[in-house]
Amino acid sequence: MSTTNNRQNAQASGKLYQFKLVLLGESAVGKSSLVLRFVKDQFDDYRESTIGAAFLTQTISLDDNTTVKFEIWDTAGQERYKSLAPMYYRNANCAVVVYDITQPSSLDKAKSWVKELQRQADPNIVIALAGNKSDLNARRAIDSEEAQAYATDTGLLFFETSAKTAVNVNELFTSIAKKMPLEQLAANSRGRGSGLKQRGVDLTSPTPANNCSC
Amino acid sequence: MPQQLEVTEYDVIILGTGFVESILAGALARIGKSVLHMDTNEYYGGSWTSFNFQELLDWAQLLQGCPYYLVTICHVEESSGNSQENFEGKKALPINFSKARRQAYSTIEYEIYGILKQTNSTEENEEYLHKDEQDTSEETIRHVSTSLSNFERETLAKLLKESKQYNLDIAPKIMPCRGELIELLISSGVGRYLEFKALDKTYIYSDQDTFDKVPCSKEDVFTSQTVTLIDKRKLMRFLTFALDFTNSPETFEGYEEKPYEKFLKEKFQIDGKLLSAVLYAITLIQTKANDVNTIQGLTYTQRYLKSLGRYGNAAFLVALYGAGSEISQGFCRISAVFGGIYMLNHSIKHLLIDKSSNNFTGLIDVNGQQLSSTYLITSIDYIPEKLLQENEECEQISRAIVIIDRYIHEEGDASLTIFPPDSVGNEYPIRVLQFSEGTRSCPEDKYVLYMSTKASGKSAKEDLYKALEKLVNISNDDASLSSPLFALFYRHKFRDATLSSLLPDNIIVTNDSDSSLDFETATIQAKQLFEKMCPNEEFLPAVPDPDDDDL
Amino acid sequence: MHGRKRVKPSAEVEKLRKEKEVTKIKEYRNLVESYFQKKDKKEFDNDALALTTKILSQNPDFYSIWNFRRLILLNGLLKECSEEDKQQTLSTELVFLQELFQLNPKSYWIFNHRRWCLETMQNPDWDKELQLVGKFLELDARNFHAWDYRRYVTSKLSCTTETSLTQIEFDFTTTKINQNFSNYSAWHQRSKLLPLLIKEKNLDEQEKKKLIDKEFELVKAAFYTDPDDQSAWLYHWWLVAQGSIISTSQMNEESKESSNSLNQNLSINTSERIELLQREINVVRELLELEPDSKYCLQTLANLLSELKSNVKEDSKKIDDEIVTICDRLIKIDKFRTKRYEDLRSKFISNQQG
Repeated sequence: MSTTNNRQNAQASGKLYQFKLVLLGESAVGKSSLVLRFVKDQFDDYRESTIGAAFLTQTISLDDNTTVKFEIWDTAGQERYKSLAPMYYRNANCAVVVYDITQPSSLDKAKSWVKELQRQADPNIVIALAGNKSDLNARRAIDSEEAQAYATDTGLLFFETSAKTAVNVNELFTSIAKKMPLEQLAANSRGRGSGLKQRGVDLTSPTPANNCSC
Repeated sequence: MPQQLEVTEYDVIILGTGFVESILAGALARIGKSVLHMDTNEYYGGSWTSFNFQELLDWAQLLQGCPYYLVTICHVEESSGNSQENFEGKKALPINFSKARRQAYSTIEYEIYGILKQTNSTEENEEYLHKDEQDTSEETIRHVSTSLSNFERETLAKLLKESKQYNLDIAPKIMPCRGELIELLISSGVGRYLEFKALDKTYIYSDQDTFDKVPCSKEDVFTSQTVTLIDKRKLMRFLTFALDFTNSPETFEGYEEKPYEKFLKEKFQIDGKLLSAVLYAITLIQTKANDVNTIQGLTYTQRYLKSLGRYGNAAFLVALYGAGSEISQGFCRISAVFGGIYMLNHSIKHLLIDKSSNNFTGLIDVNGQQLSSTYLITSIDYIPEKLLQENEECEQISRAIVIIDRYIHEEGDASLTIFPPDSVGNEYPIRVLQFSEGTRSCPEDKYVLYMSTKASGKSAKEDLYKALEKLVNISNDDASLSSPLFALFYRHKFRDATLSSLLPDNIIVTNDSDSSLDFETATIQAKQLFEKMCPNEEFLPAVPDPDDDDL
Repeated sequence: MHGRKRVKPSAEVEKLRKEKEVTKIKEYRNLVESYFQKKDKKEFDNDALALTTKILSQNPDFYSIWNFRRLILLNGLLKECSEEDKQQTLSTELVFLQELFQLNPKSYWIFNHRRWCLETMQNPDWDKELQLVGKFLELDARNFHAWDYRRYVTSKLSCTTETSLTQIEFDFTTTKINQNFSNYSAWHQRSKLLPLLIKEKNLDEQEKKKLIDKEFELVKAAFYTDPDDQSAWLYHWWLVAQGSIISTSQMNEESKESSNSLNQNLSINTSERIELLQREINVVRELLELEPDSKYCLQTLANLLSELKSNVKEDSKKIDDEIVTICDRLIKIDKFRTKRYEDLRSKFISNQQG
């Protein structure tokens, strides 16, 4: 009896949500490092800018039944000369706007990215502000309180993070996952594996040919 | 503020972010070439781009010769460079981008149609807009509407209100489910950035003002009410043969170079309506029937048939938000991921040509910065006039973008309608794509028609208007038809710069979008140009999946 | 693990794979072994149930395990329990079966056990079953197990709800046939439903004729589209035969009422029959002009002609000749059935002689 019941539980429940997450912020604030820490738990002091990949993915289990998969898009440096493609924001469910706590101008830049997101992206996008490089507290140029106040006013999640020491990195992504309107999504889409994308044709899944039977 | 580049020497500088340039940017960066990719426009896609409604209107006005300060896009500064300036011992040839752009388009006319049905929510409209948007749109209305009636003003206000929900493609194309582009999107991984919908219904206009659904697959042939029993058999026999025509060469022996039409009539007894359907809706020939020989025809037919069944019962896919623009952005992203540097909204003043070798050595941008590279890849718009040969013979395409308030055939994301030659006084086949909100071309209660044909008459409007009259109710005499809200007619030159012999060897020119319905010729051009530049390199190999290495 | 090379020497991989397989077989054998022990000892406990779950998950076609499982349930969980518990146990059983369908959607034993569960239940949810079988047919429209099960479910449903599902089911076959008419099961289902539909709707002669003509149109469209598809031809043969059955039964009923008009009725029905045969002969001949080598087309024409011959007195020699020609053609193009065609041919040749 118990065997069959357990099977039933494992099969019937368990929801996987997939979200597109975009990263924004001035050059060299540590966008890619944050992602690398989150996705691979790695850090490299001298890494080149950009990730060198289409996008990275990472999954978070919120509880036994709920798993959130992030598809993380790096700007690939296209923001440097104001040339970020509209495709980048398209269908983004959440965004992490990063600044460097040691660079005063980087928060201003972050604020302008938040504005840009509010203008260009989906109105329901979940935005998190991340003050990175908190390991360099000695060289701090931006007060936590100031950034926190701005985030609260604007309705953003806020964390001070360190990609180098891994402080608050998982917390940042987990709280984004928790803030996503999961119930609403579950109601809108039927079945397991509901995400926001893929309403159309998936190029890599052709229709199976009619193979002969009976 | 001038944006100075830190690095001034590159393997390749690419001008224009159109479809072909973008594929090349991706392919070259992918194999480790240093790429600087620039565009004078502030948007991606060049002449393959998509606009929201306001931008489209501005674009049309700009092409009509309206001063640029009256419109909100394309704030392109005219080049002020002297014609043959001497620059450090090199010829500096001035680029006149906006002039080149304007010359590519002609017979631009747009119409705004009054809504007579309901007039209730004018005040509501105003509130809906953000303050700054409201300013722009009021200005637009004031500027455009001196000659408009109240009803027409109302339509315009409504369209502007929803402007951002439109993605109107100025060179709309679809993708066969099997072909060069789709394989490239899959193999390169760029397809993962994009979203697609199926186009699975084709209609053909026949006499008595009816539109017949074109049967393509076996299921379609079986269920079709308009195809007689005998024609069902003839069509199936032909389709079965065409799918593997190379396996039975005896069937078309002696017909290879003869018109396809003759072959279909004599070998398969296909005639009348059925012949029209095969030629124009399945083979999708874009010229007169006589211009296509049997080998060409069979090749196109086969490509269509092979496309069926891969993604359901559709032969084509539609890329959401405007295919040309999105696909270009996707390849640019690959380029950026592999180190390509991107600069939009950046004008180029001069190209530098070495006097002795007559080779391209670099360029001077709007800030006076000199940038150099081994190769220049460019869309034709950036080529100095001095390097172009006049070519009056080039093909022209008449296009129309029409916004309507109701679907024409039936609901669904996308459909294709064909008017065969001579069916509405047209010399060449007219193709009409109907896109709905599902393709993200327009808001929920609207549809977009993209019409195109090879130019034959005096203007784009003349070439397409009669077909439009069959599709929508323009003169208000048939309430059962859909009503148009807006129509923009324009002609686009297909300038084939590869024909110019004045070009230095290290300048590689990409073509404009041609009159074909798909991206196949353009994709093939990109691939060939790449192979010419880098003969021993792989063209857009798959990007390694970053998720793989921690499995 | 991070940093570990993914690619191993292929020989090693192969070895590992084989080892895995060996352990798997060994485990399975052990399971079966303990099954026999438990069966001999008549141990109908939870362990035994778990054991059958394990074996069936690997091999759902092991039918004696299913029998044992039912015994376990009847002597264990279902014995002296409340209706509620019974419903719960059997619902769990249905979920288990649904998972097994993914392993093998064409197993007699899974369907069989499912029927048993539902019939043992007090409140089986037949609507849910109909949905389920709809999904099966979406995945594979030609799964005849699923079609068979569908008939079973709809018969149960129409018993409980007392409303007929015939029209709905008939339309369902239309949908499936339109999606892909190369489907023996769907045509077969249709042949079962058509007489029911006529009976239930109480159609008069004319309406009946109209309905049947529509079926002829449908099947014609199918074999004109693909003359090599046997499923459509079989339905056509059935329809032609059905035409005779319907008119014959009609004739019998009327003949009981008034034996006086027997001859008259017979002649009317015979002439209708001849008309039908001639109409179909023309249809097939027309197709044969386009497809002179179509095997099914030739076979059908031979069948139709042979029945025509038994209904008409004139032209008998001409018909014999044509059938012989058809047989000659068939012998040439369908070499596997040469003897059969020769046999058929001989009948018409001997007729000629006689």
